[in-house]
Amino acid sequence: MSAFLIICVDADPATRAALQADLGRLAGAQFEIETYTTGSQALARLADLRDTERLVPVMVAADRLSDTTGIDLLMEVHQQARFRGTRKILLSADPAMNDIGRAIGKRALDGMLPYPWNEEQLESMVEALITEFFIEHAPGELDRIPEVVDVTLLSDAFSAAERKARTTDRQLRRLQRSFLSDRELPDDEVERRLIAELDSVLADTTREDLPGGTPILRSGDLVDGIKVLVEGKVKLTRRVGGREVVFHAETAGRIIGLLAVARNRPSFFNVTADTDVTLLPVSLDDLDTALQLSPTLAIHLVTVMVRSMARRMLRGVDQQVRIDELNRDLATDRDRLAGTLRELENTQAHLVETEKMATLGQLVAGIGHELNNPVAAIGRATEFLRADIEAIAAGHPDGARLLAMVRAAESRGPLSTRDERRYRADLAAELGDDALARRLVRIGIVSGNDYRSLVGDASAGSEPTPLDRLELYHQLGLSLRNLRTSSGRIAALVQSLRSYARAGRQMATDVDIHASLEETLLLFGHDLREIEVRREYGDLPVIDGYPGQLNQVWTNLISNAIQAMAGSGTLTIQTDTPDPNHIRVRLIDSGPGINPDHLDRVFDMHFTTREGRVEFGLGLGLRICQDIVVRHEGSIEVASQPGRTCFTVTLPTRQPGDLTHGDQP
Amino acid sequence: MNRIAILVIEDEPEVREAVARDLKSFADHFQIELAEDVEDARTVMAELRSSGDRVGLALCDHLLPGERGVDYLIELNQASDTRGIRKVLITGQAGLEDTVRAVNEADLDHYIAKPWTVENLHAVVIDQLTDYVIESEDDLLPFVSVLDGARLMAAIADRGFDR
Repeated sequence: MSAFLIICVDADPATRAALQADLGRLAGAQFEIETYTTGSQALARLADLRDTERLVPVMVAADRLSDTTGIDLLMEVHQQARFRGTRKILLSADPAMNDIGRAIGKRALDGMLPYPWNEEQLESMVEALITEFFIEHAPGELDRIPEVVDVTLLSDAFSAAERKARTTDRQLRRLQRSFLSDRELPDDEVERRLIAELDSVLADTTREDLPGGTPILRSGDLVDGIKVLVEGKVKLTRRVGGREVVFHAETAGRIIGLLAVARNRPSFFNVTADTDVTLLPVSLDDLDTALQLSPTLAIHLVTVMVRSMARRMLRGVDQQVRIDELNRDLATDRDRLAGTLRELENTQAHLVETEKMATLGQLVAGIGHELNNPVAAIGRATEFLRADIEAIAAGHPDGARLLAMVRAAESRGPLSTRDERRYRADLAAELGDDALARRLVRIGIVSGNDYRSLVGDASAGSEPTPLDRLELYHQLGLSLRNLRTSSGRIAALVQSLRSYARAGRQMATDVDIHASLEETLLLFGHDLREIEVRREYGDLPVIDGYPGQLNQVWTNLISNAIQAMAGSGTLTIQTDTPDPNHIRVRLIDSGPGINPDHLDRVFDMHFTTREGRVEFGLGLGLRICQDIVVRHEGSIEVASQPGRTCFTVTLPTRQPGDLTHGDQP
Repeated sequence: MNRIAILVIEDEPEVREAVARDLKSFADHFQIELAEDVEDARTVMAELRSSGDRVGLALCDHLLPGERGVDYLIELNQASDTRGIRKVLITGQAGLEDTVRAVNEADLDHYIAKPWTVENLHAVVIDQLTDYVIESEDDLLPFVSVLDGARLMAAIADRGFDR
């Protein structure tokens, strides 16, 4: 345990010796006295001591030193935290009052010893200072130095400490109570108490009255104090996108500027008086003082602050929720609008398609009508020719053979090319004349017997030979037949066209579904050449409906089937009555099937599997089918697997009334 | 017999008969062979070959049951012994795409649209067969009366000087 240290500095060796002697006697065995001649020696010694635990309770410095003054030296030592508690005594015969005032102002001087000193003065001063030092810095060491302790001072110190402890304890309890009580208090009460506390702690508080609309703080302003809102309301705004947006009104809180002060930043918001307001301005220095003087003020301030922040934060959360809701509403609206737009586009496309179909229908009906007359004329002319030939034959020497050849050619028609070659080969073998056989078979004479009975002496006679004449007769018959067949086909086509295009403006009560299907099939003609059409027709009643529209349904479905089968395959058409009030038509193709991913979209507008191309009967076709079927109160369904795609159309046999909205084809 | 045939491929009997009758004026010099589809045409071709005859001109419809007319013409153009046959498409339905293919791949010589006129049909047949016989026949004289006499005489004259 090392001795306590008393450091003395004096230029005069005699004075140093006197201090050494007197202090050594006074302080006793526990103290060591060190003396130094100059300030720098003393400072050097203290520097060595800085990092030790050695206590230096007292330092004495003479006023005049060779390198500094006693005041400057003591003040310099006092600057060092390690030696701030060291009691500092100035030894002076003639102290300069200005310097002493400086030292006392800095609390760097604890005692002044006159020179020469008397022992009583020295003793009372040193004892008091040592006792103070130990009470303050090392109360545990007091029992080591009983001889130097100033008993009165000690007991005073004890009672003071006790008093202080009690006060502290009381303050602590009050703080705790205060915080807890604030927690229970309503906002306005805490705020009222805060204002009251500020008023009572700060002697010279004032009130600032401002009319509504007055700016109190601007965004970006430096804040040098807070303003407590005593009366009225303020709003917190900020310029966003060229517009002043209110962030807080009800949630503004009562302490203006505290956030900026706490963050040490310029004001974030513009603060404006929303109504006439009364403010209590508090500068930062005043606030600092008030907080030191009143612990409860801090509690009030913190409570008000925390609550204000909480309100703002809750409002922030609230606004986020509202923004989310608005965003959701917007998204919903946007989706709805997009849907409406899509619907409109579809409707427009549908209308265009419908209009196109209507125009086509009129065109087809017109052409059908125009074709009717020439076809009728050809048909009649054919029959007239036939009658004229009969009449000529009646008075003709070769009339019997003429009529026989014409009738044979008419009734038999041309041979297939395969049969013709077979007959030719046989007849050539029989007759031994290839060229003759060729000519005979061409006119339908396929056996030697027929040849002999019809031609007889064919080789005899002059031009034209009997065979030449037979060829002419045959050609007459064949031409008649071809005329009749071809004009018949045209007539049937015309009939189909007109029937097909018969506008759906009027509902019919006698629609024959099989006839309707057949007319449609006839129109496909060549397209169905390599497709085997299997008809599995059941017994169907005639039904109510729009024949033209129903034809359009079959046309679209058959067209799709042909395309799906790439022109060849089997198209099965089944009809039946699932119940007495409905008929059902199934069109089944042997194509590769519809991609399952597309199956539920085939009735969508614009849907097409042919790389987005929309052609007649395609793309919009299935949607149009669906529209027509639904207009007939029926249903259309599709089922598909590789090799079998089946469209099922079910229609009621009777319609509830006039389908007034069905006046579009 | 080594005769030259005109092969007509047409599936509709009425149309086939009409073409056959329109070609009747050539029947003394050329054998008129009728086929109703491509398969039938191959049979005719085989029969002609076995009897030493050959086809000089093919008049082919496009839309036929089974194989398409254009595809058959392309097939004819790919075999060395049938490449020289004059090929004419006679159709009402071939689209632009098929026609372009026929010209490019089958070396199509002519295209007759239905309905045809007998004058047009005759002109095309005479022109094509004249080309054919000049290319393939040693003796052109028999054809002078039925085909393009002026061109045949010129050809005969050329050959006479050559030989």
